[in-house]
Amino acid sequence: MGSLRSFVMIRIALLIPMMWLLITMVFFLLRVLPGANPVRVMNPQLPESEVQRISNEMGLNRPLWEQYTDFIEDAITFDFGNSYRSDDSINEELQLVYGPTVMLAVGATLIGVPLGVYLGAYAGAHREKIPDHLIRLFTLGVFAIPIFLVGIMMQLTFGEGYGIEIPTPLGDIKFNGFLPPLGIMYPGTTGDFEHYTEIWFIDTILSGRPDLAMDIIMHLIMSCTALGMLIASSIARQVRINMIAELEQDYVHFARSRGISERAVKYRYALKNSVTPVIGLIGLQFALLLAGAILTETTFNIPGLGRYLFLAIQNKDFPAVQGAMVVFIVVVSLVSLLSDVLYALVDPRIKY
Amino acid sequence: MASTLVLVCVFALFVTAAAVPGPVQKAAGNGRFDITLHYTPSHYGTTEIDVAQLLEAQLEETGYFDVKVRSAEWSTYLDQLGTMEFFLLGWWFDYPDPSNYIDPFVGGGAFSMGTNYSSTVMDGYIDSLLTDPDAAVRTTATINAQKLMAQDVPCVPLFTMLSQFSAYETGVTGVVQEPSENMHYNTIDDADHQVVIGTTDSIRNIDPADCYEYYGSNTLVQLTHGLMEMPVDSTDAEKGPIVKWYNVSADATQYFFNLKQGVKFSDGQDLNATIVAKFLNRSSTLGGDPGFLVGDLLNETGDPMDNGNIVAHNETLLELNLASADATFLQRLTYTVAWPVSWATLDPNEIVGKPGDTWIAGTGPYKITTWTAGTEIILEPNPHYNATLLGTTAPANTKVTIKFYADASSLQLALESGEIDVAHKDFGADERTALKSASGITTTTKETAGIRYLLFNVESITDVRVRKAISAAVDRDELTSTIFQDYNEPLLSMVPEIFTSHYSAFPDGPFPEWVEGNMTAAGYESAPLEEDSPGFELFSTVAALFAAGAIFLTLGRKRKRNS
Repeated sequence: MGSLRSFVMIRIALLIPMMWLLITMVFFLLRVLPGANPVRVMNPQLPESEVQRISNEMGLNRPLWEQYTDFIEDAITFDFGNSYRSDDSINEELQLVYGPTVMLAVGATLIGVPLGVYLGAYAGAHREKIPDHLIRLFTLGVFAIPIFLVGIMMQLTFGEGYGIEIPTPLGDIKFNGFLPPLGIMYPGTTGDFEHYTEIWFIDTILSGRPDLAMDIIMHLIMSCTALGMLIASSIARQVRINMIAELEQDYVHFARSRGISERAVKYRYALKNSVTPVIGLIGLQFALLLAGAILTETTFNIPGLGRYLFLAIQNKDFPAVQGAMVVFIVVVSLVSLLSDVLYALVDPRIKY
Repeated sequence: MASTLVLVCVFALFVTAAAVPGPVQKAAGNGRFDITLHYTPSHYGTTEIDVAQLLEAQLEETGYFDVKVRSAEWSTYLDQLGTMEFFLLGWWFDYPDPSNYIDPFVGGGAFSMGTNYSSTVMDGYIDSLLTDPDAAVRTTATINAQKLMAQDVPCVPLFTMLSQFSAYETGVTGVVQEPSENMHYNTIDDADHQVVIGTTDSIRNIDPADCYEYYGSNTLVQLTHGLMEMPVDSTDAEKGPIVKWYNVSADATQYFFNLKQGVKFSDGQDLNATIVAKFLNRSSTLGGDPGFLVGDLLNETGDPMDNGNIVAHNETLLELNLASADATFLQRLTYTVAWPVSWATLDPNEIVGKPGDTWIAGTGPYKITTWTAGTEIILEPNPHYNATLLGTTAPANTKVTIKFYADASSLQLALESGEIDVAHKDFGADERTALKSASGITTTTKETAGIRYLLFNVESITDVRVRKAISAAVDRDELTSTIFQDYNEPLLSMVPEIFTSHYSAFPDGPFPEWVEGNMTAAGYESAPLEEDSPGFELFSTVAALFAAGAIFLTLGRKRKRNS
């Protein structure tokens, strides 16, 4: 375990220059982009004198290096200053928007990982048979179809007020949607519980409102499934390949020769070894998941970090973009580190 | 072989370079007039490219123009104002006065809109518009300014923005759209008296001193009343419900407002002249975005309360003195920057009005009870609201939830799924058409104060005959019907029809003979298009590909030989 400890220490130490490099890139990329003064972008009808006055107040007319050193100083203390658009503290704004994204990401992982493992294992166990082809088609389709389109199709099929009619020789079968198509909760309920953590699912439970917690689950089913399918498809492909390889191993043939049932061989022995490498994959998938969250949050009207970043980029709200990006970088790095450590703990063969 | 390839490559690059149109306009007498039309692809909706392309087609169809269309994202576009020669823009008033549709484009500050237009005659009209208290003189000045705009053509009005459009579940009552584009929620009701209103707008803050965006201002309208307001059926400025009477001096520099006694803010504080004076002083001096609307006039000589520009004589009498005459002051007061709220909910030196601050309390029919940033605001009736005293309507509902949506399709989905009762704004033409035919949904439309237009940089397009010809070539009916499905109106003046001084000064084209007359006089000829022919473009594309291939082959051979 000594080597693991040093690995973790090195990874954490590397995190610092990596973050510095990334946020420096974000800082300068935002400023070399062509475009008008952010004050003008947000208030196109302001007289020029007012634009200049406000720009001076916000420090936009200072030399770039001064802005950069201030930004780095602030970033070290995780104080990203105030938003150009709202003039609110970025930290406070991020505290309000991280919760929905956490719920979406956790929900998508809870749906995506088991689904991916199941599909991958089933496809691998039925190699070159119809289920394998169908699952491979599904995983390919999920990658090929944009996530927002998947979301819209789900909304129009399963959303309240919508549904589908399937024509059959015996007559049309009507399926009515039953899931709330948008948001996290029904309108007018966000004031009915205490906001302790801003992760509303936890807050509603802590406030003794399981009915509202159930409402949140119902609201998040479609969005989490849409996003979860994205990671499920990657995991399924990985698990399928691992499963096929594992089923060729000697211990599998040995187990079969001992008369252990085929089901137990596949799903008790081979699957266990097929899934272990996926733990390492989850760290990378998390970055994909956060990227997908931007589109998912927009499609499902979820006021999370992804939508916040999208609006900040649109408004040239540099401090907000920088703050959100730092959160993304830190979260992805930490999850990646965590998955590597978990992988090492689960698989004793892994040495760092 | 390599040298042959290099020669082919140089030739192909030469052909490609020749195919790229240059920015220089053709001289008079040399065929068509080259012009570049700029537009921004998303700020005014996804239809903007259609507008630009149809204008290109209309102008080229005359035989006198060769139009190139160029786009830039909004932030870049704004940065290019002043350098673009011919471009599309939109405008919505800051305060309801015709001057606000003339001065920004052709007045002293014209550079900010990129026209670079200057005229002493126009300056005279604008001066009358801004300073003369006589309504008849102002109307004449407005009409003359519109005529002069049509004569000098620094701009070409095209059409109004999409008309106001609201959709609501059948059974909801009291949805009234106003010319100001405000919507009062106190009249809206449904079976359970709890109304959910959806919007694609967002709110930055609702501190009156800093709120300079549509929906923040519309939310303030639910929370408080102003000294001056726009009634639900016009854009005229009239005294607000908190004012008993007001008086303006003959030279339009001195204003007296007598406030009603007994009016309370929703936090229980009393409204009086001292509070209003402190409030206006704060709005004028705090440096918020819309502060200039009142600050320019009350704050010219320093602190308004120290200089006697804002005086509270007693509990009810407020006196405002302007540093110089301004005929638009009452109209400026209709903007929420001048709508007083409880001093107890403000910070004298800092902008407030955000979700985490003490929520603004006003004299209006509602107070805020929940504000979840980016998600929803919940309003409940103001317990201190005295509709009888104010002469207004008490809330018909018991709760209003304002729900925010990312885009029009989400808003449509929310309405169709029953999540919201009313979709306030805003929808594109396609969503409007879909909702009009949806069952269980009622829709309503109303004219808008927003306008769309073309602007010329008159320092680039210097010949007024060319500008006139372009003005005469535009077919507004085709634009509004084919692109916007007639959800907007053709516009023949920069001052929209909601103002009584609107005057249709521009030609309701297309008038081919006017185009021909002006362009011939300017020295241009009708000629077939040359450079945009598909054959030539195809040829230049193939040439470019061939050039790239030749370079690749040459380099590949060289590397092989060297190795």
